[in-house]
Amino acid sequence: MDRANVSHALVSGMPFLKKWSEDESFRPAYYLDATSRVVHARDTDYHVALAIQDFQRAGGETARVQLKRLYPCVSGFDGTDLGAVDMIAKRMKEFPGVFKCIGEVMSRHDDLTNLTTGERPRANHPALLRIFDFAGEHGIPVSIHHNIAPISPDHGLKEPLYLPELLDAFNEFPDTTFIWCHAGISRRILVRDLIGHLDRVLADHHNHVIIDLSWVVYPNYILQDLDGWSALIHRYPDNFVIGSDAVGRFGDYPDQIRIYDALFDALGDPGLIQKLARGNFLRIMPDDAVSLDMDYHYPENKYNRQPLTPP
Amino acid sequence: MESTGPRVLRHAKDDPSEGPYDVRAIQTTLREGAAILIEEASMGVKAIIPRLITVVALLTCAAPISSAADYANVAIADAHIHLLDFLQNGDYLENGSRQCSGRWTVRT
Repeated sequence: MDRANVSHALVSGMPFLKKWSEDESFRPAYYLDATSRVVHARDTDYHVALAIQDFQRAGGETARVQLKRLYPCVSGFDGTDLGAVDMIAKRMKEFPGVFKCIGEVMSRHDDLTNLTTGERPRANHPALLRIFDFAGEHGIPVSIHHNIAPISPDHGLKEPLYLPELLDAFNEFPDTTFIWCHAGISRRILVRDLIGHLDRVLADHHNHVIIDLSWVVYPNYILQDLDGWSALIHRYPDNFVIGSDAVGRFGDYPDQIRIYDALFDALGDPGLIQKLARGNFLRIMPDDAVSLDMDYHYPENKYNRQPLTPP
Repeated sequence: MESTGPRVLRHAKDDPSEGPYDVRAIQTTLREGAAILIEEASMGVKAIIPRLITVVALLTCAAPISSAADYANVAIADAHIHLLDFLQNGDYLENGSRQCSGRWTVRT
């Protein structure tokens, strides 16, 4: 982080792991490496929390100061399980003083979703609504990956068919802070006027929705229309953050995170650049980790029935 | 739309074997290209032209890296990092190499 002049970071494990299927002659490492399914990594948060505790024990006061720079998230849960919120609360009770946010919540995620089995999550699924409600109640930001539209295998433009599901969640939980990962874009997601869609979302939800500009949205959309995106960010200066979306390897981390110079150039305004670079992120993130009473339980009877808008 | 833009902007997730800004590889290629160019200079102008075109193309490709304004002094808060990848069955990646361990070891 120091090499890349990164002062703070949201960090999470990975909510899925790649199964090594018996019909694969090699061990796939990335989710797209093979047709092997991905399965929920229920222990991913343990890896993160135990590493942080190791660091705390080994590093003393230095570690305490350094860990103020990190915002660890709980991510290892099944987003279709009504009990997922209880698992999140359990992790936060098991590791008090460690977790500060929730995510990356995996909602609609094209090829990754296709490789899962069983029920598929969506942003207005009751299991996720319970989590968003819990998060709002405790001031915990939620980072969510939810594609704005289905993929375009023929390179044709799609309507933002999945946006209403996310808007359901945004509308239902105005007190929950959401980070919408990658501005709803993923590989092969082609929509017309993404800027216009985001403009309308932020018009209604600028008080609690932040747009994350990491991953493919940057080269595929932002760099294609720097003026348009610059204008959007000027309209909503408090609603955008950047990130590396680094995944488990950090040898070239400076090169992964310091790709935003062209966007900084387009923005021009140093104050706005500072907000995008880190001011907005630091504004929405809690200083301290979540601390739950040991007897805390999320209510059994909240959001446990029909979705707000059935799929 | 598998392509995610110019090579210098490709994300590490697209190809875990290389990063988005493979500056060293480009520099190496340029050095090698220059060396070949010098070597072939003795063979006459016609032989030089394809190499010259290649080197100019490489320089053009590398331009986004060197021509962008320098914002290295701008401190960043990274809003999206995964400490772990999809190999979590007791293994993990460290700087691109798979390590085997029951638990992370922390270096301070």
